[in-house]
Amino acid sequence: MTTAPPLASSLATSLLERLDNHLNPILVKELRQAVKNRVVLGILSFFLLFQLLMLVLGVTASSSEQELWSGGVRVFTAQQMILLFTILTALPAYAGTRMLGERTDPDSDLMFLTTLSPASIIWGKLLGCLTLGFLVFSVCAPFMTLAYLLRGIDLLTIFVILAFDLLLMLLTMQFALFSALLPGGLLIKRIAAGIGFIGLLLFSYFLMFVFARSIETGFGDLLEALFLIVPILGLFGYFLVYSIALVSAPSANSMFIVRTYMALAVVVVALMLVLPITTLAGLTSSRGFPAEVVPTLFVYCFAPFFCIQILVSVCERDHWGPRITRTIPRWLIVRGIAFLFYSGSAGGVLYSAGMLAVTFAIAGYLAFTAPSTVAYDTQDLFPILILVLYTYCFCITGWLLRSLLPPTQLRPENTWILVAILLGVLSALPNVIAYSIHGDRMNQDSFAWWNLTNPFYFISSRITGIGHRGSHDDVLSVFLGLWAAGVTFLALPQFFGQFFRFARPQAEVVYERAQVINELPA
Amino acid sequence: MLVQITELNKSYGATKAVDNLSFSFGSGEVYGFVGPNGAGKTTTMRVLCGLEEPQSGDCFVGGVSVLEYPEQAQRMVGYVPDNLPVHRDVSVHEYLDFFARVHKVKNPRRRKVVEEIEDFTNLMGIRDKPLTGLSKGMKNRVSVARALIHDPPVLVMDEPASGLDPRARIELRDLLKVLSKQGKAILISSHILTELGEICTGAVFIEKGKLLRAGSMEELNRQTSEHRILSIRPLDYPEKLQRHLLLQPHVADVRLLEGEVEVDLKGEDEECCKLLTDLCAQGFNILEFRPRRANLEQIFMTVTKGHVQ
Repeated sequence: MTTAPPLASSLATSLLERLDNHLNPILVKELRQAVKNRVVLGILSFFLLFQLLMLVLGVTASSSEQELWSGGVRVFTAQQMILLFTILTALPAYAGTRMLGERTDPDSDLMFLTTLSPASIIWGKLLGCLTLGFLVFSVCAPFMTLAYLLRGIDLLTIFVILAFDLLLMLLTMQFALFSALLPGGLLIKRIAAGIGFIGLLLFSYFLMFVFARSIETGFGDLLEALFLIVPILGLFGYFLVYSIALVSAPSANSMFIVRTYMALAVVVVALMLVLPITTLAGLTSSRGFPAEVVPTLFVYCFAPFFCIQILVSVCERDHWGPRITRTIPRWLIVRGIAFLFYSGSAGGVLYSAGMLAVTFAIAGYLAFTAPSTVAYDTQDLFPILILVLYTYCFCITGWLLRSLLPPTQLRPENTWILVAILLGVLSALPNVIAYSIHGDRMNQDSFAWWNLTNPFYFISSRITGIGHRGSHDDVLSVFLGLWAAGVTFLALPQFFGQFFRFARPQAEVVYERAQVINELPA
Repeated sequence: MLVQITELNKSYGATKAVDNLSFSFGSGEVYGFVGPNGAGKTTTMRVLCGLEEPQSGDCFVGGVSVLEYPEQAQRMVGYVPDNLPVHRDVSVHEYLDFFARVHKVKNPRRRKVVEEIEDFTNLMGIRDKPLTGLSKGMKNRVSVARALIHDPPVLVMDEPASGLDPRARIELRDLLKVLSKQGKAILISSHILTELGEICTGAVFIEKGKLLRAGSMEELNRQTSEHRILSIRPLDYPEKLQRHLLLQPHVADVRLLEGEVEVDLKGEDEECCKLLTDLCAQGFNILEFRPRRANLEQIFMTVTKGHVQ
């Protein structure tokens, strides 16, 4: 006689099986790999030992009475430093290396050969890395909480800092995956990752400093907490959508998600700033935050991303494959909007230029609608405006030059090389010509014609103040304005040509062709 | 299931990898994809699997465009690349389980499917071994197993036999025969033409991205030689047979080869039948009478010029 399995047991099995069926396959694979990986096990063991050591030292090394009352802060700070190092460098490096390893050509099966969507691939990878991070946290968190018993730090502070650490980990992990997915050789990826990580570390430590100060003084408002969290989540989202775009198949409309996200980000942040502008102004000024920098900060936060987007756009395709064309809307107005958001060079340039204009317009609106107590200086926007114009001019000039070359000479995705060469030549060559004319009489302290095409001179003159004159700003503005107008005029055939090509093929033709092929004998 | 490659063009910079390539094959057929190195075989296969986008042309799997609906097309294609991707810290079973999950095979069916595939590809004994520790032959079997995990009707195999020992090659050949009998449409590229010839029902020859010849083995034979080659083994008097054959109007040439007579015959199957009837009527004792097929090597050497790019 056989006995039926207990109901609870069979229910649990069925529940687990259902859960297992819904798990992201990449997450399962990553976790299986992680539990077998010696590096991961090593990191976890090291953390356990280190925490224990810190706790013992924290308890035994307190000599004076004052130290005895603040032992928790010391232990917590040491633990926090090593935890930050791990989540900002060690774990992202592990995640990036793994992604890089699987991104190489022979391993392309994981990316494209499956029916997994690009979003599933990135989420799976991210969740896998985050799970490792949680493991590290689970090793650290109990010891960090125990620091509370050593006095000098309260539980709320510990939990808030840990939550902040988690947010930073989310950002750095996603950045690591993004760096590993960048097109190009290993060197380019490493350089991008290196620059990015330095930037992220500075960004993280700056936010950590602001956060620590907020903890000391207490959160004045939910808005202030949002002010700290929004940039982290915003950047995380940016790297996430870009990563999804980078793992998309070559024929996919990969930039759509990026452009939609960036447009939404501008709208959401603008709404956050526009709607409670009075509250924000009052709050920020009451907490020592200069409210007059809000419009400038808004432009400085978004403009660099749209400048990058211009460079990315000129490296995009000029033609669309059937996979994209079948989804192009038929109605002219919707098609026009889709043209800006779909992958494609002309649409991308128009989108980026348009979004830059919107960003400056919002900043202007913020400045004009601010309370009279807040004094804005629109001159703060001048440097970023000039740099935006430089980016636009160089990228469009490179794009135009590439269109003159035969397609076999330079592929669209390598247009950035042309832009880089152009930047180098136009920054250096006028100086060389001027030197050959003027010789030693060249005065580098004053802004002269040979520096007009040199954005590095503009940046250095702004930073050092050498050679920076108001009248030269006017000359530079007019020069860049003319350059931008000129290249835009020359690029008009590209814009119009691509827009007219951006149309859906006749559905009937596609259907008939498939039918005919199906009826043909093998 | 019909697989159609139509007017495919793909360039890498100045190099034209695939040049207006068109061919087709169907269920139960094993098509050899033959050409010198750099002929564009891998590029064509990658386009067929949706891994690359061509400049123009398209591939259709069962009428579904690979370019327009890559997700649907990929569900119908299993791809065996020329080398197995290396995933560290993953066993054979975990690797196959991962791909079964990817293709949305749910448990408890997933367990059964993975075990069946492991059994079919003879991987049961090494299912717990890490992928990195496998030999070339074993990796190859894993790669085939992975391509079969979602039971695709089309199988695209890029150099599956390269680097395999004789036993592994024989096993692969037997496996392909079984798969062909199951009704799968198989496109296989290889440089080992003798082996390819044993399993292929057709072949596609390309050079410098251009199609040289494509079709079933019968069609290729016909295209390669203007004459039908017959091998006739008489019981006795081969010289007498040779003389008689040389007098026949449809016979272009006759060669005597170690007791066997090789005949170049003009005409179709009807002419062969007529000739056999005539020989029997004339009193020749015929032990063997068979039309000889040119093998892939001969066809390859005839149609290709050895150009690479």
